[in-house]
Amino acid sequence: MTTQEEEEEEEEEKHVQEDRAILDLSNVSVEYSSSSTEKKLAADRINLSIPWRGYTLGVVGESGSGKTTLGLSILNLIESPGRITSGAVRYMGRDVLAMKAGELRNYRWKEVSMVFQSAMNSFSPVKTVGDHIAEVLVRRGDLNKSEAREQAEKLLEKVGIFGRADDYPHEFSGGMRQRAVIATALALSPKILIADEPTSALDVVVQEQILALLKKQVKELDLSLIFITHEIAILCGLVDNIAVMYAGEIVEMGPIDDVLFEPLHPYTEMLLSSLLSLESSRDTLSKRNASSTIGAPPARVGCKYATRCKYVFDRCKNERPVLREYKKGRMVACHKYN
Amino acid sequence: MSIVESSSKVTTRLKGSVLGALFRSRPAKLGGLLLLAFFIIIIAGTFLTPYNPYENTPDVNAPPSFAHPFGTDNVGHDLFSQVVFGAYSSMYVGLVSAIGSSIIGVVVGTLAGYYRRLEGILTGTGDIILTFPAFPLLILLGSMYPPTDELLIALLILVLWAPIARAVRSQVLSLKERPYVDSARTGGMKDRQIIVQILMPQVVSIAVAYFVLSVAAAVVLVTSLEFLGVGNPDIVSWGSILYWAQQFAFYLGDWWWVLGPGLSITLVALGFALIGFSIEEVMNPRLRV
Amino acid sequence: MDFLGKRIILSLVAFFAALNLDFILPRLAPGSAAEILASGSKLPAVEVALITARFGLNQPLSTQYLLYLKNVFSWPPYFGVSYQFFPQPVTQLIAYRLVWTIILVASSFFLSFAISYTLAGISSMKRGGKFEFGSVFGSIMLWSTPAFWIGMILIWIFGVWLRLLPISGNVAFNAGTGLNYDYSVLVHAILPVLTLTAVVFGQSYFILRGAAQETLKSDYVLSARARGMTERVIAFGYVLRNSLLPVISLLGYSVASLLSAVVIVEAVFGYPGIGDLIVDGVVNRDYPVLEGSFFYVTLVVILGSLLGDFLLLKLDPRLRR
Repeated sequence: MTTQEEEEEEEEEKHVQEDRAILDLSNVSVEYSSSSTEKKLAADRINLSIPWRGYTLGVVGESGSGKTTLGLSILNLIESPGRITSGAVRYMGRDVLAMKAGELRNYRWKEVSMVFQSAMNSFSPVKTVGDHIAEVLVRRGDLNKSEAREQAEKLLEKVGIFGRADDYPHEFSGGMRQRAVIATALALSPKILIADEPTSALDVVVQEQILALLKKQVKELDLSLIFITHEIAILCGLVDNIAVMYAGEIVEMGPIDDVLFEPLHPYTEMLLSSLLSLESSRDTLSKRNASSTIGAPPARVGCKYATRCKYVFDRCKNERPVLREYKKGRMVACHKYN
Repeated sequence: MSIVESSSKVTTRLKGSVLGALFRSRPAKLGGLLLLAFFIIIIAGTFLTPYNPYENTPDVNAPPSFAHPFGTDNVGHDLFSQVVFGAYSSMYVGLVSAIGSSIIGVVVGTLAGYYRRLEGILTGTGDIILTFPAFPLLILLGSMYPPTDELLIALLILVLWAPIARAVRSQVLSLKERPYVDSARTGGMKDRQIIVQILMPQVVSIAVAYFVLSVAAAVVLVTSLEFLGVGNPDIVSWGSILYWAQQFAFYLGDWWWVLGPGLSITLVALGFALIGFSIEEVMNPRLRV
Repeated sequence: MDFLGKRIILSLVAFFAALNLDFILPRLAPGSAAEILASGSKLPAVEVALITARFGLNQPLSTQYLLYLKNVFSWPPYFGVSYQFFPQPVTQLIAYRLVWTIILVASSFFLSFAISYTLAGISSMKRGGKFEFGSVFGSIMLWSTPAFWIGMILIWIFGVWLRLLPISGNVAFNAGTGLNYDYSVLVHAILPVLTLTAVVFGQSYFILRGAAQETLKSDYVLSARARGMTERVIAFGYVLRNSLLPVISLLGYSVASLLSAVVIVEAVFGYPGIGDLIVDGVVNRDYPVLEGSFFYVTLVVILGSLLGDFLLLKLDPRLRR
């Protein structure tokens, strides 16, 4: 067999083995109540799936778009005052939201782990970094103390931290802490890693290091990465697919190169137009419709983006668009394509 | 809108929400109920009891009955009248001490929080007072001077202002860093104006919480001092009633002598404590149960 | 080291303040200092003369001050002679009594701490449940209840009605020695320790719970949960371990309030510790005893506070730099 045929057979096998997606979110909605009367829908009928191992997805959107909520709900970590009001999160066919405490604990970190947005504070200030990782290995991984200790050091070395396992979190620099957090997240060799804005608080140089690290891990471990960010530029070269979120909904989804080259949803278009490249002419700058970039609040009825959309027409104001496939592999929620 | 106007709008909204939340809080309502009941009983008692608290009735060592709701002691004093009588001095001392210590606490705390130069001295003094065990100090001082209500008030203020100052100081410290204070200052507001018009209103909530708790603490402290004999045990006061109970009640089996007065003190203190705690809880929602 | 340095300086200042207070107060009170220090005219003239000489009471204030300091810093520190227990020197008296007080205080401290810790741990596992509400309400109630009344109620229930436990003293007068003695001490300590624990619990539980609530909402708790740690590990290993810190930083204050409360508890139970000594001193106007007690009690508090700071330094890695 030629190498190409071999590759195709491998791909087929992959699909056959996992004929159901590894991770599947269907119609997940999360609500936050800031008081007994004020409720906000942080996530609105999210549909998402990770079809196979190694599938990488970038989730992009402005703050408040529900990206973090999405990540937390995959691990069923939504805590009061928020709660998941509808939908299902299935991992390998098992309903995560219905899992009992023990099963849930087994699922967390071992199958899916997360690097939090404020990874700065992911560590307890009174425990050494090494102890955090070792704790995971002992309690969740059945290693004994000395084995865990050794393994923890090895994991840290893998992310470029040498000889500092006995230091406390506050003694690490921001970038180092972030790397340590990633090391912890990979301790149990999960199949999916959710990274929620891991580089937002870091300077560009360190940011590059972290992104490179993640890329390397994805490749080496056949890891599925869900990378959440508000900076669309970071995702290039990092993930294969992208989902764009607005006001709690996914408005567009598809392979990243396609989406960036040919954005379908007006919001995606707007996001991309806000990125300037060296080739942008002055015309592009002035042509940008100012009103579409300034944030009018999402509409309550009809399409949420209608208040900012430059293509808006009547149907948009009354009917909510549903996320559906437009062409192969491309999903979009917009009446323009319906 | 000027800085002052907008910040006072914030304050009014805050106060409104604090009061509103307070009304909805169950512990606060219970506390309020207790205090209301207490005041009603005391007022009614003042006018309705036929007995003089110093009067020796022939009804000696009598358990609670319709005629003597709290029973009588070993010389026939009607304990209910004694409790009603003692309520006045206890509340007087309690409230005045709380007011005095709150005022001093707020002033010292605000100054300590705002003026870094003063912080060392003021906080240091407060900390020193906090490290002195309150009771031995109160006893020492109380025994050296003629025991009057005023002396007790002065002593209690001395002991109670420090925790309030501490709380106010940390509040002011965190408020001081807020952008609107900075902009007020660059806008030309004088320090005194900033303190009075912006910081003080924000500090009110925590000051009120501590004030209420101080009343409870003061009442308990005062009765404890009287119980020990600081202050004249021959004058009827809540503490002195129990002072005599300690001497005689156990051997005579007069359990009501211990129960009635003690329960009154506890319930009054509890009433204030519940309200004070609820205010604190409302301001710091993370404490909510 | 800067942290500890500051605390040591503060302690020294507090100590100095206590020292001076002890000097100033008797000389401010109505009546002559000699009278007060010699407990009025209740002591024989010879003793009065001795004390006057020792303290330099008929000399200018500055000399008195120096003499006072000399007396305090001699070993053992000299605070005069007790009137009630004449001619026992105050320092000796206090030394004996202090031991008994420490038995009560130490037991209550650990007991209340253990109870608070356990309750806070269980509460943080079952957020917002009836358990949490109950324990909070309970601690508010205990905080509002006068210590002496708790003692009196306990005496009544266990001593008078049930006749289960002794209601006064620290040991039965006929207890003898050895195991019998120890048992008697234990039994006599039960009610006072319970009372003291109840009082202190009311105060410490608030702080512990407040600190626990802060910690509960923090990111590292969420992270621990995401890592699949059991609620129990989170409650005790993360939440409480971190909320321990503010509690320990208030150790000095806790010791102060414990010593405050123990005075009352000893009074109620006739327990011969330093608190009881102070109370008797008040009633009998035994000023030397009062002065000495105040001084030593404050000293213990300051030392306790320093201990707390030292522990904090050990337990909070962020303070070490």
